[in-house]
Amino acid sequence: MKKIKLNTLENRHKINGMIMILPAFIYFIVFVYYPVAHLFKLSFFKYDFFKPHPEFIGLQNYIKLMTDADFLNGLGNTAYFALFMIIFSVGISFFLAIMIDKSKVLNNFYKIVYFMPYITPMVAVVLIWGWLFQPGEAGLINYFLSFFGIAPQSWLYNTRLAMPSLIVICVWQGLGYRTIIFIAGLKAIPQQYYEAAGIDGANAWQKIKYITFPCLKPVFQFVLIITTMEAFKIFIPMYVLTQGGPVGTTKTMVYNIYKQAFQFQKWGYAAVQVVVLFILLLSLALLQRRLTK
Amino acid sequence: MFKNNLLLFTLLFLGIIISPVFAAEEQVTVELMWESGETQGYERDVLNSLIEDFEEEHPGIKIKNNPFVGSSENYQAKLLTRLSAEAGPDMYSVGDNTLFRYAKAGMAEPVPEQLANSLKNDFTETLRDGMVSGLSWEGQLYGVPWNADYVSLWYNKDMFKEAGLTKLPSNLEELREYAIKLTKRENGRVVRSGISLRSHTGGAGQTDKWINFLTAMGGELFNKEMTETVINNKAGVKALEYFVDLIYEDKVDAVDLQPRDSDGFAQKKTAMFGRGPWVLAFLKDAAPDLNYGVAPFPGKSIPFIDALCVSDKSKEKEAAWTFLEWLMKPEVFARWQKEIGSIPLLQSIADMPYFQNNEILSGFAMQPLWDVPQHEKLYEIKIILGDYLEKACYKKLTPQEALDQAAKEISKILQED
Repeated sequence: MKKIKLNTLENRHKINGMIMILPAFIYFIVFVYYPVAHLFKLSFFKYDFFKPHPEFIGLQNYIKLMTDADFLNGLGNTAYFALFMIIFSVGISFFLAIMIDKSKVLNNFYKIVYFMPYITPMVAVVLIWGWLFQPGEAGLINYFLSFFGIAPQSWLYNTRLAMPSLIVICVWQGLGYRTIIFIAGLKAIPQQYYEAAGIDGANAWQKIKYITFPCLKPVFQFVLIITTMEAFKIFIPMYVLTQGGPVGTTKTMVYNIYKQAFQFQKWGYAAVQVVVLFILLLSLALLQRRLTK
Repeated sequence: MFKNNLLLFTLLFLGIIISPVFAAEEQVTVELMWESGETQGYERDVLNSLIEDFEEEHPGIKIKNNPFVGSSENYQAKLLTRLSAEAGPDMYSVGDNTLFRYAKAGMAEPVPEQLANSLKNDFTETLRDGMVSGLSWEGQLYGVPWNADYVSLWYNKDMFKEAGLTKLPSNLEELREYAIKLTKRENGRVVRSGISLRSHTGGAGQTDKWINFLTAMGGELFNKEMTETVINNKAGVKALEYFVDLIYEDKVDAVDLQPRDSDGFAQKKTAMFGRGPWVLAFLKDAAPDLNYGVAPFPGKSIPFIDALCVSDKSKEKEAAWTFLEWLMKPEVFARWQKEIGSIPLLQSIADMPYFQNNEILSGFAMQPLWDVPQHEKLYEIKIILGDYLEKACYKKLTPQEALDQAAKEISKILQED
């Protein structure tokens, strides 16, 4: 058997490195990899806390999921939410980043103002928006709309308006974080590129198209991945404001997982939905990486 | 001299070290974990004051008061996780008539015979059947009563007077007639509902409020054998049609009218609504000058019985039962019930002058109650039905379609077992 020589500098570096990463490695094994593996295992069982021994049921949970109207509705609602959340979040934050980056005055002030909602707890944000979205004339948004002759809307109780209202809340809350990331990306682009393009007669749009976009590709990739993750994991606004209603129009995948696990005590069936969400997110992340390469 | 001092110092030191050990041996600590709701901090304070008195009377027992603030689902998840990991509390509360599941799973200890008999003989008349069903499993009592909640009709006396209504509605037709008279509109929009209905949010809550309408029409959720649901029979459809018509034909309430329910009642935006006795404590704060009363709601209400029980894994069962037995003394339990504004659960408490003379609680005492079946999937069934009721209230489905589709899903669940 080949012995590892501890006296060589290279091996000592390797061993030191391993010791250094050991705590993080143990943490990941115990708190990330084991629970994920256990979750996969649980998806093949029928299990609730009232029964001490989980019952192995093979693929039954997966088969049931394929025809579960509630799950399919949640999947559709999540996709709808994610699509618009991604478009508006990325679009608006990129636009704001360019505006702030170009602005010579109050640059830092704007950064703080836009970042503020991100550090505010989501529940607090949602409750404040719930108050703004109140139906009738009691709601502040309806009050402002009344100046333009628009009748008061039931934002969170109307089947067509509830989901867009929640999208507005989430886009607003995460705007600052994404804007800061874009600003950091913009700062890293050498000014000479723009100066050279200016000398060559490029206009503002051409500069964005041929310099900013290509240079920001890795930043876009990162923002797209985190926004997609966030969008697919959305839960708090639905739980606090609409409880998945009206008529299930704001029931998302995670809301359904919560319902199956905590309300119905069907932990195995909830686990299957988490597995599907996990696979979906992983596939989307890989697809995005490929598309933005 | 030095030796004497050393001996004295050693003895003193040992005394300091050992004394807490002896003291600890004398005193046992039992943990009480209970669901205190989202905001009701005052319940914790009331219980703390009772615990102080208990500990004074029983110096050998210390009660660790562990209220859980949050939703029922989260409470149940935390409690069950602890119990299944055998790290549960000695005593815990169980809500929504689910005690039988804990008893069946061997997570709760039967109530000692003497206490069980004395409680059974003292359950109030109105709640007797509900309490026996809510606290028992296979004929044995597994918990002591802690709280109860069910819907009765809250009404604004001034609005009744203004509309010339001199007696209370005794059936659904009168309820509709009264609601129409009590509704106020401006430019065609309802600005004060005659009755605030649970028409949206779906879930178990919507079913809980609709059961009164169903039973008033002579309907039921299940057949007697609990093998199938009968919600989509004639009575069920009639009950849902009546409910939807109140919104769209009679226009006594609007789906988007805010504030509603207890908030709407406190702000005089609704004349009637169905809710439990907890509203009493809420109105004391939110609308102290409101002139209101409580009457039986047509049909039968679902009684929700919360229990306190002792974990079968507790190492201090005797101390735990000592505390619960003390808590069930009428003079002690009356303090709890009075402070939190509960319906009296024991006859010896209901007979006390405070409860006898309380007009609101007397209104609750007359409410007919539904026999809650001990079925493991009842909560899930109520959630599914509630979601379909909401679809009918939003006119996404007709009452017949909504109940047919709900019945199909519920039947599947019943067959699973």
